[in-house]
Amino acid sequence: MNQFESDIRKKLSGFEAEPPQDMWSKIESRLDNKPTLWVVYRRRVMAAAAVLLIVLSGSLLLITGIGTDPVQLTQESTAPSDQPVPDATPPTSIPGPYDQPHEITIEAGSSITDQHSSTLLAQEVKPEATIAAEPSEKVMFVSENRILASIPGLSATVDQQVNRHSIATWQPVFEQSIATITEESSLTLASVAETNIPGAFSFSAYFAPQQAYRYHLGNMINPVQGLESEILTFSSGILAAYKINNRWQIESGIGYNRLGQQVNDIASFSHPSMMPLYTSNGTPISEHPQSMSTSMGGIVFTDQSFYFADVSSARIITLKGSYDESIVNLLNKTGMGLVQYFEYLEIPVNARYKILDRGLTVHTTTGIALNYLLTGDVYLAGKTQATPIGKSVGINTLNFSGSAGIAFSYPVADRVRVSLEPRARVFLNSMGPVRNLTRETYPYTFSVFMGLSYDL
Amino acid sequence: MENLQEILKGCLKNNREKQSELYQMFASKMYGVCLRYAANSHDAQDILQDGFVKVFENLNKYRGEGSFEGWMKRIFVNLALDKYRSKITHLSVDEMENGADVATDSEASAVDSISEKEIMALIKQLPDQYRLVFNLYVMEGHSHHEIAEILNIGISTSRSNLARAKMILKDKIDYQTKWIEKAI
Repeated sequence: MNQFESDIRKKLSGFEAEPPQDMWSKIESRLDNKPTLWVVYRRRVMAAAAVLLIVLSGSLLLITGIGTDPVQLTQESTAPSDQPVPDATPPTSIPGPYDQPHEITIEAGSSITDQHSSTLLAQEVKPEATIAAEPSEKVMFVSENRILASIPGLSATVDQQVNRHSIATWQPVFEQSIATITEESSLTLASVAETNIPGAFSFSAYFAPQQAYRYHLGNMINPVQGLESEILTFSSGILAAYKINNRWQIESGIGYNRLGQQVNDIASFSHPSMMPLYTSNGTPISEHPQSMSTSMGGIVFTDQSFYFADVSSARIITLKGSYDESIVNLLNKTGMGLVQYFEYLEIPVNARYKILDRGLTVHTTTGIALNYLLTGDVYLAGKTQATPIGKSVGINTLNFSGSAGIAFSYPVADRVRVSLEPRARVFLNSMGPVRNLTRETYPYTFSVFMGLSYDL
Repeated sequence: MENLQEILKGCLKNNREKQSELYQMFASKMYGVCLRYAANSHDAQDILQDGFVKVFENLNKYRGEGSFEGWMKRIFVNLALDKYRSKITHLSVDEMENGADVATDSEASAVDSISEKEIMALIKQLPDQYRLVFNLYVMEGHSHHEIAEILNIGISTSRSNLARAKMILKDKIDYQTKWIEKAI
């Protein structure tokens, strides 16, 4: 800048001029015709409240709705149709939860088998005596089911909200390109600090439907390929964030994170009267005689009302002589599948970097989290209900996970922002190799964080 | 006067009295900004009016990053740019290629001899595009690269616009100074 420019700038930097006397009345009349902030943001606030209500309801439903319903049994028993079934309960149908039924043919006088392998049921339960099915009678087994299938509806609601308020509607006064305009403010830095609206802290709550996957390292991957599958779960929590500067923000808090997988290719059976299946000379045994291995640890069954059998693999281990043969023929197939859930208390530490602020604010997010295993329950799950039947074992209590995502947030009211953040999370250490079918299993998830934040 | 934070809180609640206080606090400064960018007083008043309405409507988006006055000023500057953006030509001014600097240190002393109101009057007379470039470069401190992005023009166009603006201003200031000297 040369002397001429410098002189002009110096001359005009403090230039002020008195506006016309009627200017304020003109502005005031325009403000009078403007709806109040509440009217402007009413729809957005109500939409945000609706999202929050759905989020909280979903969380409550998912947390409390599992493991409380008694399992209903089907009368599509493996027992022959013409054979009397003592103490049988009235038939109770279970809605077919099977996306792709896996057919298994039971030949009369033979073991349960499919095209590829034999089952242990033949070895352990003497099927010749107990399952005298008609020739070519077909039994439908769970192949894949989907738990919690209704959750994705939530994301659509938020998507609509964000789309409705496209960034195109925002005035260019917030354009980043002008952000470096030299300020001739007469306000001192002290007065800037005094005008601290809003402050550096904010609080938020989130709910994140997520698809839980896992990948394996090691040499024994093949045994579980196709026998386990991902499931839809969720996480939720609260966070406190501190704004370091205009770009960077750190946040931490506490959350609940549910991971898991569906264990396919396992048939489940129950005694129709719900009495303990396994007795030895009339004496109930103290522990369930079965266990099995998965890629996410082992499963120790605890509910003696249920008995399990492999369909095509050999993962179920049954203690010999632990069952009462006289009641094996009373078994009913439940038609439900095994689901392993791992519930973690999560303490994340995230860093956010703002890349766009034009009404719609965009942050990149990266962070790590400490995951403390709360429970590792195993459920026998149908389409609408589930009951706990065992525990996962051989799982690390503490794990670390890393995450990265991109967060979109939008103001819906004074200091209140609604946010939507696709995020990927992955465990940084193996869940626990002790009893896994693979040496190392690393869960990972793809989530959509939906949240509300409030700036203090 | 009540401190700014209290006034802003009141404005956020749509308190008309507080809005009036905020207007009284900044109207003169912002009108000065508007006059610098506008071609005439009528346009400046339009920008001032639109600007304050926009400030009140968007006050909840002020996040305390930087001074409030700076935030307000950006609103007024952007409104002014919007008003004249459509008149901006994308053609470079060939006569002043490379933005030859017309004002030397010795020639600049004439600026001291005229008042700020007279300089403002001269700036108003500049063609829209020259005036915008001149304000953005000299008053706001933007580089030519930034101005090119803001106004969607070429960097060379920005340079030549600035050079032309300065040449015009210098000529007018010189003429006015000589006239004043003769009058004395």
